[in-house]
Amino acid sequence: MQSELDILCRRQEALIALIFSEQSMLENKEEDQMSKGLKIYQNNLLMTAVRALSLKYPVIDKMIGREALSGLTRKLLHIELPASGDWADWGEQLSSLIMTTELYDQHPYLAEIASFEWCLHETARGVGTELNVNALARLSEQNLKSVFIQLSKTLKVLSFHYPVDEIWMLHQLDESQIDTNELAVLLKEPIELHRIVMYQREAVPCVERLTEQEQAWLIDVLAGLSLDQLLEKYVTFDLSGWLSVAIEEQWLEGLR
Amino acid sequence: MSCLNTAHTRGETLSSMVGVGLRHPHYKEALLGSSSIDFVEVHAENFFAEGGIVPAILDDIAQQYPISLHSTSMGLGSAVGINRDYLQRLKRLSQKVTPILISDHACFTWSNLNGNAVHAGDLLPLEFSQQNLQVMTENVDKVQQVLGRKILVENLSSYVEFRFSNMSETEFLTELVNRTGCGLLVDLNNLIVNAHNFSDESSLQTASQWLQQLPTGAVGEIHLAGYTPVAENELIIDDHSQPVSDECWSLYRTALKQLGAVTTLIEWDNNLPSWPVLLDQATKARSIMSEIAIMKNVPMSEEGFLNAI
Repeated sequence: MQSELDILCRRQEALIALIFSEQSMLENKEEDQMSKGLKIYQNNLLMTAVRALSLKYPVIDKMIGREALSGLTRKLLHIELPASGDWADWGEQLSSLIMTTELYDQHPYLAEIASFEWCLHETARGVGTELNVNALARLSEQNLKSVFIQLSKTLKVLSFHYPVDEIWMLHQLDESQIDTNELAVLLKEPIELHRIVMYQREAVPCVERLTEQEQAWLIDVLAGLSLDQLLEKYVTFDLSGWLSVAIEEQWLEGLR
Repeated sequence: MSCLNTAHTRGETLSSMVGVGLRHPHYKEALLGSSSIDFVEVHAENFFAEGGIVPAILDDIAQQYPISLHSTSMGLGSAVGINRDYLQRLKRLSQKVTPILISDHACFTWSNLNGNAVHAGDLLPLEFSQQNLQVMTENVDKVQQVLGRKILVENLSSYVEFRFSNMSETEFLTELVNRTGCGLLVDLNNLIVNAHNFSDESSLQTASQWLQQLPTGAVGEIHLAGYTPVAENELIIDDHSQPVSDECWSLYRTALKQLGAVTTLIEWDNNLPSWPVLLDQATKARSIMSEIAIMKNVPMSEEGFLNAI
């Protein structure tokens, strides 16, 4: 037998199910008070979710328009339920959702742009750490097998087929100022990989391009290779030059 | 309590303070120079990020104004309870800003959908029943224990009514106050919206009667707002997109006559006006509060929430 608490739980679940139900949104034609009220909650949910996505994906919003974003939002609400109480945490799966839609067939770059924007959103909210200057003294140790580079927890090493960083920058301009020819060049069939490091500097997200070797180095650092292993693998790598950039750009947390 | 100390640093007592809801487009102006308001209310979830520029913005705001933390996601009436991570985030934020007030709504938000945990992303209405009262009591108790302080619970604007309710909203809230020692945040606009949507009587009369049923000394804050007018027979949506309505100002006078001076907030979330227009609304609230205090011939600080703390 169900307890009164269970019954209350079920009734609250039932209201949520009605609000999230796409079918009810489309087919509920009755104009009684309950239906009118339900529609308000359904519209509120959609509008709030669209707004939440548009804040995280401003370039996607600009490129596809609010109507298409609403359509994606409606689908995303069924794939990825909001669950933390903070809309800022919701929407990570937009990129994979785009890959399942017709939009992707016509505009394959959108999935990568969405992925880039989500990373940017996460980097903007991440907690940056200060460099432990004293730990740098470990560089003078003779046995570098036990010395490991510690990177900022906000740092991400990414690869894209499209030049998403440039596409994103271009869309920071007013729509009227966007050079459509330049955009067309950026969106054409990709021929090379674009390697990127994304990180937080002075509390603001930053993006830099990487060479193939720089990217491989960072991936190995993140994989936990010791300094000894790194220097053995990257014989010609300019460690002191890299360290100075890493300190300046706040990639480095210290050495352990 | 720290909330009182903070409030007194501005030469005001908590019960006579007037503030505005501070939203992102106004940050710059609010932080430039002085303004006539006593405090600002921010939405707690907007400041949950622990890194990036958000914490610094909040520090700047806290340097200039006492802060009231108004959360919109706690779901105090959720039968499944309140998400632990959410509560910890709120606790960290509360410890960081030492707000003068913390409030949320008499609603539910946490539940399950197809076997998965879900947050409704909206303030969903409660059944006013003994079972939901028990749930709400346990949740409010837990929140107050975790935060280490009293919270205010706000009455909701609702768009559906449940046949399972077997007590009135004021009976429900009164019993909640008695059981948990929480305070109430009375949103006068919500009362008007509900009265328009569900009552056959005049909205002002319905809302005034609602106010008269509140327990003495329990009201710690009043929210004032406006709504977008709708066609006859349509439900009004509590969109906080307009200046405080004439009805709401009128109900505010009634409320102050009954309750004494109460901390008051202008809540404007959508279709935001310029910062000076928002401040003008706060000035109007302050002048009404002074006018009522003179009429009642009582010092503004002697009544209301202070006695309840």
